[in-house]
Amino acid sequence: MAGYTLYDQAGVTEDMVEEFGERIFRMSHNIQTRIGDPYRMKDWDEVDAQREGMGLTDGEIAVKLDLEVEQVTFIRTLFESRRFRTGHYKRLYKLGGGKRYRPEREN
Amino acid sequence: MPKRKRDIDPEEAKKKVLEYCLRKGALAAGVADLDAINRIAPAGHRPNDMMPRVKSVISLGVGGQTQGAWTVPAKAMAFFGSTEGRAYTIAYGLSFFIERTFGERAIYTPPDIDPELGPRVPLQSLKLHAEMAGIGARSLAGDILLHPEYGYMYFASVFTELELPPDGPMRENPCPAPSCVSMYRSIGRTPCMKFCPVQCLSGTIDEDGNQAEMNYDMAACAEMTQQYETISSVMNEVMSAASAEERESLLHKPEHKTLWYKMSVGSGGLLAQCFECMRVCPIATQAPLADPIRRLEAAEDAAEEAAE
Repeated sequence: MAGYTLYDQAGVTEDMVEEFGERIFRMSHNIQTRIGDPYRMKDWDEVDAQREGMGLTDGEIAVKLDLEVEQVTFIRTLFESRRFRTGHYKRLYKLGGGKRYRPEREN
Repeated sequence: MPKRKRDIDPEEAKKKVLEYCLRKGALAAGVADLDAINRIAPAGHRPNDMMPRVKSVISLGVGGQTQGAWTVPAKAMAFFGSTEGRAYTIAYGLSFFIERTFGERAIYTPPDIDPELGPRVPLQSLKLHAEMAGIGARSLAGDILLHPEYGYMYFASVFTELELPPDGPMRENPCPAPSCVSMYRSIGRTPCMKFCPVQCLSGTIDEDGNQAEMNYDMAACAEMTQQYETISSVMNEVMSAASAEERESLLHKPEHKTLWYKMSVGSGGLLAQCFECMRVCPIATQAPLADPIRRLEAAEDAAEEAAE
């Protein structure tokens, strides 16, 4: 069907990507913070307390933002792709064989 | 499948299962606590979401590359650094071994992504299985698991309806190593943090030399380690090119043409190709038995002792 896009299927608009993209991205496990070593210690209170820091599932994010799971998945994966910098991979070509990454070499 | 055996001794069965793993080349193997995995893993990613009657999760680890491999340029290491295929082969064989020996169902757990959720969400966390089986502990390097004797390993899991007594997580975490603590005290960063090419790692170490906080930007890490994600981005750039010349240069860039090469040869170099944090990790590469030559010497010593 002409003009029927994945945005339509997921019930997402570009405005929604703009509004929720960064928040969903940061709430997902793209960005992870772990305090201490709660999994190894089986410290269940800490495991639960750190779920947000370690990244929520799309379903959990959907509940928090009052969205549908499909909307969160669509926005998250789209946002991941838009942020993905294809040019960074070239940095690897200069490393190894005794050479380590130095940020000053990138400028 | 052979008929289910009656009166299986779980301890004896576990011994046979773990012996199989080690005999086939695993460096470490253990049984994870299923209740603990269910407590940690989110709904949809628990073992019984894949195998409804699962009773045990077995995790095994194989060694990484040779000591020589750690010294080569990163662009070469990207092609042959990963050794996970060996772990998957052992797990695949183990699942048949369990069905043949005990008459209980078993599966080699797919180490792949959840196709409904995109490239960054796995079906199952093999890392969590290994951690709960006590064969690895989370490091400051983005939670990559490390082992105090074997260093950096690749993991595979087997789910089975065979009941086996679980192991627990490691009592101690080998990360950070003393030399990393010293460096952190001096410059505020560990080697893995300092030398990450996309600076995706940060964290803190407490006064006792233990991990206090680990921060990981997985999205930045993916730019170096998940090159299959590059393909759709490159295609999008190509289709959005302002001119034929720009489109042509994008398509025919050497690094972009390499993507087609990797896909056509089925190269594992499309994923997990960046080893820079592990290259500088003293545990990953210098743990007592991380070196295959040292492992051989240790095995020979053990055999000699047993013969005496």
